[in-house]
Amino acid sequence: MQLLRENQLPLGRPFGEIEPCSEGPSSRETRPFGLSCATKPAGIPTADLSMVGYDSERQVGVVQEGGEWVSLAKHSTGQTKTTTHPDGKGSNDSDTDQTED
Amino acid sequence: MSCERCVLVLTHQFDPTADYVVEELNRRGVPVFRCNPGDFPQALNLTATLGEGWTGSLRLGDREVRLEDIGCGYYRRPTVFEFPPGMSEPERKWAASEARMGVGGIVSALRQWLNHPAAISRAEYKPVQLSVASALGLRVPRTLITNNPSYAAEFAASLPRVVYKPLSSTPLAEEDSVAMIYTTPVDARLIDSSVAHTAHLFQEWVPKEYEVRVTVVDDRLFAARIDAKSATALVDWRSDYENVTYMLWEVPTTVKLSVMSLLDRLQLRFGTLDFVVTPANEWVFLEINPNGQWAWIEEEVGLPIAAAIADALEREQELDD
Repeated sequence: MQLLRENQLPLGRPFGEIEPCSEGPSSRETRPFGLSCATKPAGIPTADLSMVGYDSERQVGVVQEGGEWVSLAKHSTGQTKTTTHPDGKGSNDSDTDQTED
Repeated sequence: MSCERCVLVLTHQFDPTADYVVEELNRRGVPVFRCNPGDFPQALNLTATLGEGWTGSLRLGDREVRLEDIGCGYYRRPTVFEFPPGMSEPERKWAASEARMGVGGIVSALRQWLNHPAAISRAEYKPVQLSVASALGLRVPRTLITNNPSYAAEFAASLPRVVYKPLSSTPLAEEDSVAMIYTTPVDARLIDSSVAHTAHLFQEWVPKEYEVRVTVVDDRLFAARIDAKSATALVDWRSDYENVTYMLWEVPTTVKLSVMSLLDRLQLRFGTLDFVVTPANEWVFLEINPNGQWAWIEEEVGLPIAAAIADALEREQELDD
């Protein structure tokens, strides 16, 4: 994972894209204690971002429902973990659409 | 006082929480310019000239806003700048710094924010918020931040029960998956030399009757009681949403006054705060998130938070020069 904080605008929260990383944990000699508490998030629905779009006129997200594009807001309360980039490029999104903050 | 100036929303396109606010502003007929700094410089165009303040425009596709027409900025979830694929890594880093100081500088110069990004950045430091909250009379759990294993073990052994909390909400990506670090009970006997490898926050465990999520927008305060229905949710409800229930709740006046003072001291107009209420009905401050999520609370208990944010974004603030 690489949080590109130096690129953030301008000094806000570290909204980082999470770079996919296959590297595993280091040894017990170097792994910080806090990471012994790491756990996989449970109960968070994963959005299918191929069904999600953007209405540039209304400037809001939209989602396909029954063949129509409807407002995303009432279909997601932010409690969503995105796993694919909306436009199919770039890296995975971070967990920033979860509610835990 | 209402105004017809444009609201600048800085966030990426997949942000349902921001959508709530934009939809509300649309309903009211308030002009909105939503853009993601991550679109700069490839899709988002900035031109600014210094005269009596910055004048110029932001342009995204066929949509454009004059800088002088922007009333209030709403800082949500902007992403990193994206540059043409052919750039070298050194070029990309240099360009990112320039973009940050240029685009970031122009938007930082806006006078009206909910919240100002710099205020968000400062308030996100848990040591800052905890010390300010404590100074304002809010009860705060006994807290230790250290990379000294001995101090950590001693602190944990001195209290009936201790938890570890991360200082940031940074997830961990390794082995091709992502993990979160939630509040976790800690056995003092298991604290070892690995504490030395970075800053660690240990905190006294506060017995919970229930928790309260408080959302503040300017002078309006919204509260929802959170009851945990599982052992996991009892430790940290963020780790087990399936076993949490919500209801509207009242905040005692003394707590309310301290909360308002806390936001004022941190120069925030918006914040989400977490409290534990003990079996003795004592309110204990855990943390404030200056850019926290709130849409799911609005949905769960019917709090009109989006409308309050829209009100705040429309409102002209009296600012000192």
